[in-house]
Amino acid sequence: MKRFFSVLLIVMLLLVSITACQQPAPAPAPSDDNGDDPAPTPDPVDEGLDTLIIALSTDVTTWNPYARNQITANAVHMHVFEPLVLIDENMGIQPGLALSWEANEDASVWTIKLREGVTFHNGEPFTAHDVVFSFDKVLETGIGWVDSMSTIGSYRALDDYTLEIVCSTPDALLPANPLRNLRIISKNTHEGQDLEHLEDVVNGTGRYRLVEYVRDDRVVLERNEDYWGEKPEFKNVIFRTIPNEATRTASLISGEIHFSEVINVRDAQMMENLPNINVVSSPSISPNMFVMVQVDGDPSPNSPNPMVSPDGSNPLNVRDVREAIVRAIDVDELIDVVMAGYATPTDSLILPGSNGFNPNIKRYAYDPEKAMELLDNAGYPIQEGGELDGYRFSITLDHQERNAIMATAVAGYLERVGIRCIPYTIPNAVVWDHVRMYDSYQSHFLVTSWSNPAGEAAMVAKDTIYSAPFDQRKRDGFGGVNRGYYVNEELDELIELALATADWDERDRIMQEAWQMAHDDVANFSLFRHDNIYGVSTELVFIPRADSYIYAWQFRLAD
Amino acid sequence: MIKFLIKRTFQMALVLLVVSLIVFFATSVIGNPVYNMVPETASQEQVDRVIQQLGLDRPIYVQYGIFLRNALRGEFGRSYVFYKPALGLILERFPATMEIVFVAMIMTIVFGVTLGVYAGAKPKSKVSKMIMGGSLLGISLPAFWIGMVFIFLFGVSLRWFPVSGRGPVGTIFGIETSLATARGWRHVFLPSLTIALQNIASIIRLLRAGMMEVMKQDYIKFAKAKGAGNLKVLYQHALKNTLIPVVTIFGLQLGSMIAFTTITETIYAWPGMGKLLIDSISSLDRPIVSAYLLFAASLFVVINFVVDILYALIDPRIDLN
Repeated sequence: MKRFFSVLLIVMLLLVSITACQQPAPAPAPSDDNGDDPAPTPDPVDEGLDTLIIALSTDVTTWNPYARNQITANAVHMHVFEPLVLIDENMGIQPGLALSWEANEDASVWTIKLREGVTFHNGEPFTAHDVVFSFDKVLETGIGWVDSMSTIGSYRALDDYTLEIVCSTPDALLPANPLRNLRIISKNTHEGQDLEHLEDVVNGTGRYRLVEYVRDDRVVLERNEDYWGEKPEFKNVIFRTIPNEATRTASLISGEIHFSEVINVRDAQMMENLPNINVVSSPSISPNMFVMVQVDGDPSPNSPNPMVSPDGSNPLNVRDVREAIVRAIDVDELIDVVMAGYATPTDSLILPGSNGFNPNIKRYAYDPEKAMELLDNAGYPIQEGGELDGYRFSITLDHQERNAIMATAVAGYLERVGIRCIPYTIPNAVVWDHVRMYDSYQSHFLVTSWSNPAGEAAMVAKDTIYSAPFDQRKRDGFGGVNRGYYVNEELDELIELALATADWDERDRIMQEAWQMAHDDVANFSLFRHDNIYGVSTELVFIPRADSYIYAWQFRLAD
Repeated sequence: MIKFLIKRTFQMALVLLVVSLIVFFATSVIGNPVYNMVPETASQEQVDRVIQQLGLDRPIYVQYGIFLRNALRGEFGRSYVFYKPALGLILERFPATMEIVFVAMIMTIVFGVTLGVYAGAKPKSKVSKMIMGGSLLGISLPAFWIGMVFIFLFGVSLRWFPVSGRGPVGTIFGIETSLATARGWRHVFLPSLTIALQNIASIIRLLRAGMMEVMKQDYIKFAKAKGAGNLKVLYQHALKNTLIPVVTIFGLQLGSMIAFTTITETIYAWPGMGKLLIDSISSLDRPIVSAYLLFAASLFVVINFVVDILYALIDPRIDLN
C-alpha cells in the first residue's frame, strides 16, 4: 500500500515539475497554431496580419473531392482544387481551368479549350488527360456527385488542351453543372492508387495548397505562389472547426478567430454592440420549398400522421386549396417575428438575377379572407361535430429540425383559416429517408429548401417541377425532388426545350414562361430564404458571395 | 488467480459479443445512411450502386456475420463520412481525449481525496461545510453550463485561457500530445477542469461519508493514542479503509470520462473521440458508431477488471476467486 502511494506521489511530482519547467516560457497569444510546425504562427493582434483564421461550423471530413457534396466542404476544397468553370460573386459563369467552351446547335456536343501553363501544386502541368482521369474517378467512386455526370455520354481529350464531351441528352447547362462542380485532380499523382490515396495526397491547382489537416480541428493552407490567376491577399489561411455556436461567438469576441460563419440571431444582436466585431448578413441562395402531394386518394399511405378530410379526398390535389394555403400565411410578419428580420421574402424558387427569373411572378399575397373563400368554394367548408369539428381538413407539415419554429408558425396561420396543421419534425438522421421519392411516401405537406447556385431556372425546373407521376417516375434524372408529384406534360416539353437551348436569352424566355405555368398551378411555393449571418473582426472587410461560399479571397484588410 | 483470469476473460468475451449484437442491430435499423451520402436528386439506379458498394444490399444476418468476422481481425469497415478505416479514426483521436482525461483524473485524485478526507475528518468545521456546499454545486451543475461559464469567465472576460481548440502538440515518449507544450497546457486546462468538477464532487462526498464512519472506529482512537501523526492517521489508517467504494466509482468515472466526454469536447471544439461519436450518430456513420461502442465497452470491461484486482491490493481480505 505504501508503495502504491509512493508511486502515485512520484508520478504527480513528475507532472508538476514538467509544468513548472514550462512555466517560464513566455505565454504567447492565445492562438491555435502548431508551434513545432513549418506553418507560420498566427497572431490576431499582430500588425502585419498575414494569417486569416476562419471558423466553420462543420469539418471538411474528406479530401476526396467527389465523396461529398456539402457547401462548407465544397468551399474549403475550392481553395485547393479547381473546376473547369468558376462562378463569380454574382453567380456569373467565368473561365476556370477551361478558357472557353462551345456547343453545337442542340447543345449535345461540347468542345472545351483548356488553360495552358497551369501547374498542380507538385509542379506537374495540368492537361486534358487530368480532366479525363477526374471524370473517370467521379463515375467510379463519386458518391456525393453521383448524379452530376448523368447527361454525359462520353468524353475524350482531342489534344493536351482540348476536351470533347458528347452528351447522352442535350444539356445546355453543362458548364453550370457538372463543369462548375467537378474539381480536377492530377492523373499522375493518383493513377492506379486506391481511394485512401485521395485522402492522404492532396494535389490541386487552386490558389492555396494544403499544409496540414487535423480532422475535426483545422485545415491549414498556404498561398500557391505559382497560381495562374490573381494571387490572394493572405499568405496563410486556417479554417477551424468549431461546431458549437456559442463557442464560435466566444472565440470571435476573444480574438482567437477573425471570422465566424453561421452566427445565431441572438448572438448577432449582441455582437452588433461590440467595438471589435462587425456583423455582416446576406441572403442565402436557398429559398424554402413547400410541396403538397397532388394525387387522388391517400397522398401519404406510409405516414404516421395521415391526412384527414371529410370525404376522404385529397384537398391538396385541388389547385385553389393550394393557393389558399399560400394566401393564409403572412410572410412579412413571419420574417419579422420568427426570423427576427434575418430573412428575405421570395416569390418563387427562382431568385432575381438568375436565368429564367420572371419578374411578373408574385407570390399569392397574404389574404386570409380570400383563402377562406377559396376553401369554401373548393368544397371544404368548416365541419361541425365529428373528428374534424371546427376544421375543414387536417394535414401534417413535415420539416427538418432547423425549420421547427417556422413550421410551427405556418401551422398557426393555417389554423386561422380552418385547416388543422400538425407540424412534424423529422429527426436529422433520417430526413433523407423520410422524404425519398417513390420509396417513403410519408409526407403530403413538406418543407425543405432548394438552392440554385448556378443561376439557371432550367436546372431548378428539371429537378423540382418536371413531371413525377405518383406511381412511377417518368424519366430518370428528371423531377428528382418533385416531392409534390406534380404532373404537367406541357411544362415538361418547355423544360426539355430549354435544356437543349444554348442561347442564354432564348432559354431565359422559355423558362419565364415555364415558371409562369408552374406558378399558375401552384406546383410548389416558397416563402423566404434565410439570411447568412457572419461575424467579422473589424480588422477585416468581408464581401459575402451570392452563392454563400466562404473563400479566403473574399476578405481584405480594413483600412 | 489463473482461474479468476480465465473466468474474467470468458465473461469479457461474452459481454463484447452481446454488445456487438445490440450495437449492430441498433445502428442498422435507423434510417438508410446511403440517402445521407448521395445527392437528393440521385436516381434509384445510382442509389442502388452505392448500396451495393457499401455491401448494404445483403441480408442483415449476413452483414452481421461479415461485421463479426472483420471485427475479430480488428477491422470495422470504412467510415461513410471520412472514407478512412473506422478504428484508425477512433485511435487517431484517442490521444486528444486521453490528455484532457488524464489531467482531469489527476485533478480528481488530488482535490477529491484531500478535500474529501478533510471534510470527513473535521465534519463540523466551517471549511468542511464550504467544501460540502461546493460539492453539491459540482454534482448538480451540468457540464455544458459549467463549460460555457468557464469560457465566458476565463476565456472572454479575463482572457487567461484560450476559448477553444487543441493547442500545439509536442512529443512525449513518441506520443503526440499538447501536454508537451506550455501553450498546449493552457488549452487543456479548462476542458479538464470542466470534466473533473463533477467527479471531484462525487469523490468528496463518497470519501467524507466513509471517513466519518471510519474515524469513529476503535483502531483510529488507538492509533491516535499510540501517538501516530495526524496525517499518518488520516491518510494511512483511515483513508485506506474507505477506499473500496471510492475505487469502484473512480473506475466507472474514468470509463465515462474517456468514452463519453462528448459534451465537453463539443463545447471546447476539442478534436477528441466523444465528438466523433456524436457526429457519427447524426450522420448514420455505422462503421464508426459500431467500432466506437465496442471500443467503449472493451474499455469498461478492462477498467472493471483492473478495479477488481485493485480491491485485492487494497484489502487483502478480498479473495478474487
